[in-house]
Amino acid sequence: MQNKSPYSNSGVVFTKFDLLKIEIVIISFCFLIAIAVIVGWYFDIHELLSLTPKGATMKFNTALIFLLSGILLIPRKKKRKGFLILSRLTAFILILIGIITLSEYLGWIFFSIDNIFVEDLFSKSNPGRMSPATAICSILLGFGFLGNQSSNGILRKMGLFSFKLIALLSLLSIISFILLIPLANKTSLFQTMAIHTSALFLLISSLQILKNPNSAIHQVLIKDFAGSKLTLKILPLIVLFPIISSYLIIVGIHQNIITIEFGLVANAAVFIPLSIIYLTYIAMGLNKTDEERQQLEIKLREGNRYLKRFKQGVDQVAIVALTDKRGVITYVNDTFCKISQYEKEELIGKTHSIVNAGYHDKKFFANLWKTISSGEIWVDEIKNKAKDGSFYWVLTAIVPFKNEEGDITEFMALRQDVTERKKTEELRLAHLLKLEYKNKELEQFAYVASHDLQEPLRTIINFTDLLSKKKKDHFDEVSLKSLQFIQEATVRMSQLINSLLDYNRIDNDNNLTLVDCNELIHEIEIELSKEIIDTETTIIVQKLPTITGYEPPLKMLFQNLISNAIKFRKEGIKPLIRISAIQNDIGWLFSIKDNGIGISTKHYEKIFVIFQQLHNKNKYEGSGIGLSHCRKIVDLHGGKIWVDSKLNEGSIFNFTISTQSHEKKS
Amino acid sequence: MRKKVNCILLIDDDEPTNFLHKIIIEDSGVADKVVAVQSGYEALEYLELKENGKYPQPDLIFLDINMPAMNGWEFLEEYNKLDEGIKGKIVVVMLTTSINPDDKKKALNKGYINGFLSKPLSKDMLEKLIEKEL
Repeated sequence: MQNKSPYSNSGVVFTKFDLLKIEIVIISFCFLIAIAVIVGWYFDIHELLSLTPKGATMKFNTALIFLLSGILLIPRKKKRKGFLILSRLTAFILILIGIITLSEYLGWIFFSIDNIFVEDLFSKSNPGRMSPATAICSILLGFGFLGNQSSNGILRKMGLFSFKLIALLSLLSIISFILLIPLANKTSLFQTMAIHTSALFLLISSLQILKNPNSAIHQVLIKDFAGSKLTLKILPLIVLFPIISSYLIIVGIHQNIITIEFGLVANAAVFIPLSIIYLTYIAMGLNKTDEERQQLEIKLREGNRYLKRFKQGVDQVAIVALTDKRGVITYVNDTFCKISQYEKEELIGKTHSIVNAGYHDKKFFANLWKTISSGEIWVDEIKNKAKDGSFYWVLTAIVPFKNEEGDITEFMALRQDVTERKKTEELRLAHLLKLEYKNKELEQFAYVASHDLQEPLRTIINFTDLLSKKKKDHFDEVSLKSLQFIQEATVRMSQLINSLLDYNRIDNDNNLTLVDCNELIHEIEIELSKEIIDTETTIIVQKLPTITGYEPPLKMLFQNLISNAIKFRKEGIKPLIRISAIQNDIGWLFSIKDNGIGISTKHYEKIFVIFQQLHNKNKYEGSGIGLSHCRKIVDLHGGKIWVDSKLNEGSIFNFTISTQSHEKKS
Repeated sequence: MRKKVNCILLIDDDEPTNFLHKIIIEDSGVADKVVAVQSGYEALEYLELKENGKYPQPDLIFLDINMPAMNGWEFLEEYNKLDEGIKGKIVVVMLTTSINPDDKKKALNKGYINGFLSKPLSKDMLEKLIEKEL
């Protein structure tokens, strides 16, 4: 009774264990009394033979019966064939003893077994012979044991019936003893049956009836139901009341206190109300239990309804399957059938390998089993195959269920169709790979193209150089001017190609590092020192942060902006550049302010596009790439770049560097 | 007899282009004088100054489209604002490397644009143009 069901109060219930204890006690009694009686006969100890001075004695043969019964009663786990034969033989001996004794009573004596072991000197009539009731009980006992050992249903029932008869006979004997009915008044059947004989018979037969799983008493008493409880509670009243009341009536009559009629009337008059009171009391308890049971039933029904709703909900959105602990499917819902295209009957009894797409490796499933076998929930996406060979993806959660002992008995698989999402993902991945490939190709193309362009360009530069230096005297003014234009154009072309290469290189071969912007500006100031001194530029740098970024491009960014500020200075005014940074919600906002020529509003966007120039190149040198570089570098750092400016008053170039997004990229 | 004009104005930011075109025009002998400027501003300045007699009024203007600061279209807007007296009978021809068909459409849609030619100029192109437009 480890877990208490709501129906089990503390009622008396025989468990198997208790029954075994009782059995041991009864067998011990059996041997003890039998041996005591045998000893009593050999040594003439009358006290051992009869419990009351004038009572009947237990005969030697009777003691022998109990000795044999005791041996038969010893429980055995293994049933050996030899023992089976021996116990059958013993049962036959019991029957034989009973039959011979009965036939002696009936006068068909062929031989007497009454005094073959000892001489009975105590009994007046039929010395040494057991009572007819004992003889009958002995026969019945033999049949009972035979029935127990038989596998035949009818024989077993007969055996059980035999034990019931023994119980009835011995009970009669015991009651007549309790009620002090003198030997002479007893029916001849029980006349010489000793009290310990009847007691042992009652005990042995009761035990056998209780042990027999087919007996009603066994079924009622061993079980934890209201009927069993009722029986157990009424039992004392049924047993004790008749005995006590009968005893009192008999004593009353003998003492001449009451008449027989009064005694019987009083018996009935007391029994009826007493039973009613007693039964009412018990019934109240039972009613209460019943009420509790009804309430529990209501709760159970509600719980069931709740669970049903829950199941309906889950069935509509999820693919549900139950399997046993080996993974054999025991239940699938309609959604499962619909997606897999299998019928329920086709799935139940199989494992999930029926829908295995062969996509995942052994390790994947090994990990799955390892996880769920350890009692943990496993969640992942599985690619499955439907009946028609098409594939579907399911987000799967497998939940292990355990019994009370903690052993896994079942698994529940809850799945969600994610095929569409998976398809989109696969498509996106394919696109991404393609794009990456194209990008690589483009980079390679740009690199090769610009690299190979340098080659003929260098030839042009070299030979025009040669012409203008060595053959100068052969040329007229137009030719020299033409030569000059060619030289200038080739130099410019070379610059453009280099810038293109630089632009291309921005996102290659860079690692994220911590970059101290103050230091960066300092380095740039050193590198640009000639221009700074020549133009008498002042650069005011506020305290700048240390940021995570790609150092070479960041340097290029600052350098481009600073040299632009110097380059586009206003004539007659010394350049003044202010560099500052403030933190905002996405990272840092840098500003580079100058007092140069400024940019008109309509060009705010145009300046960041590659190869766009606002100014005549004679006045301001440049490739038209610088600011587009800057935009690409800022993009790389998850930021934005823009300009605030007023024509002839100066410009403020602003850019942001995100503290998060570009870090995730790498 | 071959037609001949008095003065041609070249507007192009690229100095070598101007240099080249000037030589081509001079060699073809279709103009007495060729003036080259490198921006729309300079061209406007030149046109406004012509009245003092020092500079001859151009009969033909070759205009580039893609120029920094003031492009060809922007120049045309300013040019349109000039007095009829200044504009007179000037023929304006777009001379560009633009291969954008929209540019050609846009140019020919403006009534006062007389032509849309691709760089570089040639003697043939010049003679045909002058024969047709002047």
